[in-house]
Amino acid sequence: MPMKPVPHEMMELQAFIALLDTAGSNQFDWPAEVRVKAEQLLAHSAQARAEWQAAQTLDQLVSAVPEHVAPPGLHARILAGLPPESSGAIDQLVGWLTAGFWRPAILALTPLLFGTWLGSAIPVQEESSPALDLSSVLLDEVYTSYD
Amino acid sequence: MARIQAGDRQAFDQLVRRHLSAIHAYTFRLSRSPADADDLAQETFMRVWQKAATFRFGSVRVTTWMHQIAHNVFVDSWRRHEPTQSLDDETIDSVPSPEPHDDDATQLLQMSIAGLPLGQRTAVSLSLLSGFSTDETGHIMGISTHAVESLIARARRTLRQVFRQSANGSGSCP
Repeated sequence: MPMKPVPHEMMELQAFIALLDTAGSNQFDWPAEVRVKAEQLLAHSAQARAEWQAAQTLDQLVSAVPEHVAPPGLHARILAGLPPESSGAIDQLVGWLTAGFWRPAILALTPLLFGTWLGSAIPVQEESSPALDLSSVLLDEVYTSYD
Repeated sequence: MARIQAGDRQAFDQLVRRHLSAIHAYTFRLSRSPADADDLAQETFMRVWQKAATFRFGSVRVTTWMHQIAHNVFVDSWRRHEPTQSLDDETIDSVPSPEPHDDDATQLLQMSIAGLPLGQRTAVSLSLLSGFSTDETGHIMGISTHAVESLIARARRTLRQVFRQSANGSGSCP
């Protein structure tokens, strides 16, 4: 039986095995830049064909693994394990506060924000202070004594 | 998910119904014990309920987020029971019996996967059996995409060696 001519640009067997490891047996999943070389090796090497067939068997079995079904009763067990439904306002507030770390921070900042708003909302009165008033009275008394 | 975040128990019931088998399959493949898988799946859904508010829409798929929680539940459980042993040094004590409806080849596959080291088993379970992308698998496992690809390649090589013996040459060459 005449041997097929071996192309110069053929992939090494170890590289072909590494390709099967990373990309599986489906040629369409092989990177385009190595696909032709890999297919040439597959056409010429019995060892490569044996590796490819084992990879194909594995891929077919993996894709045919039956769907796992959870044991009956586990669904009900999970729902029964939920914490009791909170009904009071305090419970709801606690639940709201513990749902995210930013929520207590927002709550703590509320008085500060309210105070800032209140401070900016009240108009500043342009009146002299009692201390100044007192000093002006005293100065007036001094000036009148000189007079 | 938005309804669960608002505390809707009926929505949570639907979520459990939809994802329980997938989460249980994952916890079973990690723990290799039906009883442990039940406990881990239950703990996973408890955390999903408690942490629902932390789920961010648009960041990952709900199923990816839930598998990540399941993974963390398993790791926490492992550290509680084996505080001195690294996850990478997991020893194989026993391999679970295959499910009764499986044929011989599927049984061999299930047992071969169960016999893989934990990292490879986890990557195979997520990527090859559950259909997660390598990016998602890395997100769930907390490792890089490159590390996932390496784990899957090593697992494929091991499994192929197992099946090379049983391959009967029925596959056709391209």
